[in-house]
Amino acid sequence: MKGIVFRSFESFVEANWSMDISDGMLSLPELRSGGAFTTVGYYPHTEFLTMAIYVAETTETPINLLVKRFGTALFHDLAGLHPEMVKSYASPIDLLAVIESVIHVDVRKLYTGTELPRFDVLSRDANTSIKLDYSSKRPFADLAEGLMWGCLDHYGVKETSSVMRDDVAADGTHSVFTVEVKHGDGAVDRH
Amino acid sequence: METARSTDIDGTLKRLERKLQRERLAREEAERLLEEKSSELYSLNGLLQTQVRDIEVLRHSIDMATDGIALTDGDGAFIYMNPAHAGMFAYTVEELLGQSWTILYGEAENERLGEIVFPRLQSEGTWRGETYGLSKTGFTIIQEIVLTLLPSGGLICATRDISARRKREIYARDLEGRLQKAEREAALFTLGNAVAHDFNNLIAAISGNAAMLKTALRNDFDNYHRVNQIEIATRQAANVIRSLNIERSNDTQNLAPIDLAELIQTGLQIAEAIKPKGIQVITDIPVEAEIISNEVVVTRCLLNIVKNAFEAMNGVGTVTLRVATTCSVMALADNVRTLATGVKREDPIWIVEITDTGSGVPENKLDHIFEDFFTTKPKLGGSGLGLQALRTLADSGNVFVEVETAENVGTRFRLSFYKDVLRADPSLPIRSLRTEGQSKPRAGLRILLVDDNALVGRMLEDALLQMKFLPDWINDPRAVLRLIESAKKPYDLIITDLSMPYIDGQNLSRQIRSIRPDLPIIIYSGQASLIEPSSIYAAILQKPIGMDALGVAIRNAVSKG
Repeated sequence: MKGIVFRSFESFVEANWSMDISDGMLSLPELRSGGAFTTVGYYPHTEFLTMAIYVAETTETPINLLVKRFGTALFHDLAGLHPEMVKSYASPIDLLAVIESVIHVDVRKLYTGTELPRFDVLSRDANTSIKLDYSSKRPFADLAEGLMWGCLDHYGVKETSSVMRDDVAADGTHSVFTVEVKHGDGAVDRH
Repeated sequence: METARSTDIDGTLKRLERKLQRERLAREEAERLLEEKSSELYSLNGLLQTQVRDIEVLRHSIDMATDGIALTDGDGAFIYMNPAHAGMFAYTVEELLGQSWTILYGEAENERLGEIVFPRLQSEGTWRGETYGLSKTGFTIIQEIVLTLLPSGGLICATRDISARRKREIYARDLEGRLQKAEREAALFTLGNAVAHDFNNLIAAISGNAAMLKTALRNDFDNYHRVNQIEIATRQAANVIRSLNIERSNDTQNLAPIDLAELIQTGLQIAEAIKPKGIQVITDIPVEAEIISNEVVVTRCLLNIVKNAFEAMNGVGTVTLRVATTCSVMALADNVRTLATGVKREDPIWIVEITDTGSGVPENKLDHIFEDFFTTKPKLGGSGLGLQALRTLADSGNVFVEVETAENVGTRFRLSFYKDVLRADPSLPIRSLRTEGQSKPRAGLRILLVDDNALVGRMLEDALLQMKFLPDWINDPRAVLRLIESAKKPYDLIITDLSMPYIDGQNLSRQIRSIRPDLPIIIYSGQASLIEPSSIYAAILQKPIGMDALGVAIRNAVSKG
């Protein structure tokens, strides 16, 4: 897993809770990296899960909610680091539609050997809705959902949109997401 | 309280120290990764530069290739094309880029490609065949083409213009047909003329003797009448021979400009079918080499020389065809035997040399290779007319043929082509027997008679003696020049037959001219119709001829000499 995710999670914990919790998380003996993450390094995804479980337990926050919230924050961090990847697309539907065919292709060019989840477009209705099939070797459907909310937030339509999730696998490795951008009463799911 | 605050501060400091330590370790790790990535990028950059250079070389090679290469996108529009491809259709690259490939084909060919070729291309991924393209100027381009599907849905097209090759194949087939016809005609012509020649000699002997007998029987009316009937019958027999009208269409009269390089390449294409695998053919031919000759006769000669070379090498060796304005500097061997036909002159325009590494021509056979029906390989079915064609070529008057051969080293044929035909010498007027007036008989004139046929030779000698001339008859033309040069009293006239062994009457006449340009020459032959009037000859007489007419011809020849 890319180091940027770990550094972003560290900032997320410090910003939402405290340096104390962050310090405890990064001092966990299970972390073989010693908690010294760099954005350009690669680390086992199990270390992220270990840290997330620690924070969830320490702050008594449901882990799925914690990871979804982090996903939203992570999108903003990534958009800040690679603004050119985001500004090329006029709407969140446009961007979500090209995750697999364009964005992941570019990511693979930049980071050879990166293992990325798949986001296959099942259907799309102009700029109002899209159905995506998420699948990964890792159990990060919550993170994927959070990222989608982050995307909607980035385009300023979070309040009027919805993300519906249908888990194909219970362990978070395979889900179908339906994202609808509404211009009326707001989203169905407010995480 | 104070202690608790102190503990908090200590705890914060320790957390900050740990954070600082993690940041330091992270920075070191980042620097290590950066260095590793930098090194990797440096290597990749080197590799990329090499690949860019390779691609440039490849692109340049494709651009310079003589074969056409083009790429299309999935919609069939050209996205790359080398100049050879565009030039094949008389377009520029810029004119065709972005255009659909269908622009290069006519309606019917586009239909064929769409219905037959593309379905196969789609199912097999590649298609190889021939297509009929259409140039910008409306000409049909016969293409050999390989189409390959790209993963993108586009095509790679590699193509070659084979219009010239097809044209040459058609030309070769046509020439092959004409050669076979010429071979048959040559056989028929040569056989027919040999028979006619012998008959004419017999008739001439009978006719001449009858004429002399008539003089002796002037007072015996009955016998005079019978001998007169014999003479009339011989004239009728001579007319029958003439009416057979044995002519060859591909004779040496039909001279025209010939592209020598094209003709040799076509000839070699024909000869490829009989070339053993172990024999290599090397050519050294300039692009532009034009001669004036008869296309069929020259091709027959070259093909027969090459065919003989193949047979002389027993399956292994080299045949070298060289066309130049000078002879080869490299001698065939130290001790070569030679034979020649035709008249050697200065400054040939082109010299064709065909050299093989075969067994050479046997010593006892070399002198006969230009003779009719003579073959060194009867077991291989040789007709004996192949190299005889070389004599026919030499008779055309602007070719000199030489043969050099050395046993177990090889044979070299050298054909020297001249600009002008020897017989077309405008400086000397052509004299005709029929247009010249009578002149006084000149008894005592010395006449050299050349005829290999003893019956005719003796008859003529008798007749000339009766007419008060001084004839010498000789049956071997090879001795003529020596006789002329060594005669105590110079000859005033030569009367020669046409068809003789060793040297024919035309060649002999040219040789006599070279030592005695003033000496009148009369050709006396059963094949007189085959000879072009020329300044070399004072008269051309058809056998048999009456004694009176012969006498008139002699007097005219000498009076103008």
